[in-house]
Amino acid sequence: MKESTEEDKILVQEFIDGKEEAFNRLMIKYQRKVYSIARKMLGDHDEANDVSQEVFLVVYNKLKGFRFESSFYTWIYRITVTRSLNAIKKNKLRRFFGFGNDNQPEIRTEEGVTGAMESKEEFAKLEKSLQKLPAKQREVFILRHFEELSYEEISQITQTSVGALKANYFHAFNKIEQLMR
Amino acid sequence: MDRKTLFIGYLDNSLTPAQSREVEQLLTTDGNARSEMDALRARFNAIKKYSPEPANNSSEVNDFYVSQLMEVRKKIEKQPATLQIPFRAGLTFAATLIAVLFFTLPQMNTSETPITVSEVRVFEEVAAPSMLTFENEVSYSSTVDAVALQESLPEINNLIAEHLGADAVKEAAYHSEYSSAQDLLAELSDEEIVLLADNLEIQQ
Repeated sequence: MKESTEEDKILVQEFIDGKEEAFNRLMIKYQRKVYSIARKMLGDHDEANDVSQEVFLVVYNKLKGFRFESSFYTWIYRITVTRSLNAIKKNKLRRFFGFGNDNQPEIRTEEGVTGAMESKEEFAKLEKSLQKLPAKQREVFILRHFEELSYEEISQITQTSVGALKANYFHAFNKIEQLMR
Repeated sequence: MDRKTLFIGYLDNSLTPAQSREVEQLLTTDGNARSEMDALRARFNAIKKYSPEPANNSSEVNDFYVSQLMEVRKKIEKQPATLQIPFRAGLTFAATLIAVLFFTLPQMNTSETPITVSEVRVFEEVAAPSMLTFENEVSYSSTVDAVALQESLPEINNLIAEHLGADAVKEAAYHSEYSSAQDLLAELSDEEIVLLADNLEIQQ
């Protein structure tokens, strides 16, 4: 991630200096990552798209105050997981008040590229299994297993100790593994 | 640490060197452990490959990201030069919750018991009209310190969750000036919704 961090720094600095297109380049660079994390957190294409757009709006509005105290990618991942967790809470609250969808979000397997998985069914099963994890475990599992971040980076993003993160990851993997059988 | 957790840690590359050696030794001496590890590794790698995309083929995927970028740019351009704090929504929420507390606490002091029909009637007759007045006062008069109200929101939520229980909040929202709880929620900012969900301790 080192080269990427340097490139991000340059783009962030360009944006701070008034170069508007630097934001577009940052967005193009991180769109897939942000969508992917949100989609895995929420299990729904439309919600993932909404959260992604929200994330980039937040980034745009706060980027001028970015102090480089963390790397740009840990910052944007942090915004993405926080916004995804907020969306999960909102959905729960809607269900709690009785006017949300009682079921889990619709899974659009037909919209997903399933190439990497053996079958669409397996893809759908995994997407459903992820939604069965507690939100915090899901967050750790996604950042570790799919994004392959180090526990130290995840700790920065989630403000959780490395020990607790490892325990969360082990529980999450164990559960997913059982659900996938 | 049980065997499976050790194996997961091994695949995840997060064991101590001593634990890794322990696993490797086990794999060389125990056939069952090896089969278990092989199955686990296969699952581990298969899950890793899961990569949901927004569309079926690469050109549609590209189109999606291009339109997402354009959508965000549109939203950026629509933003006012100075961002406005969603103060009105917070104020309405604070006013509603305070009114709920003021007018329902004396009647509903059993924290987990569902609200009775008579309690709801009392609320409808007494609390709801007053709430409307209260809300108008907060919104249109300078005599109420609105900022202080907004700042006290977490405390209010705690009080509600503690004294009234989730059912009471649900009922109160329903019988308030809003025609439904959905209207009430529509008024809340993201932060308030999250706060409310946390305080109500809605289980996953």
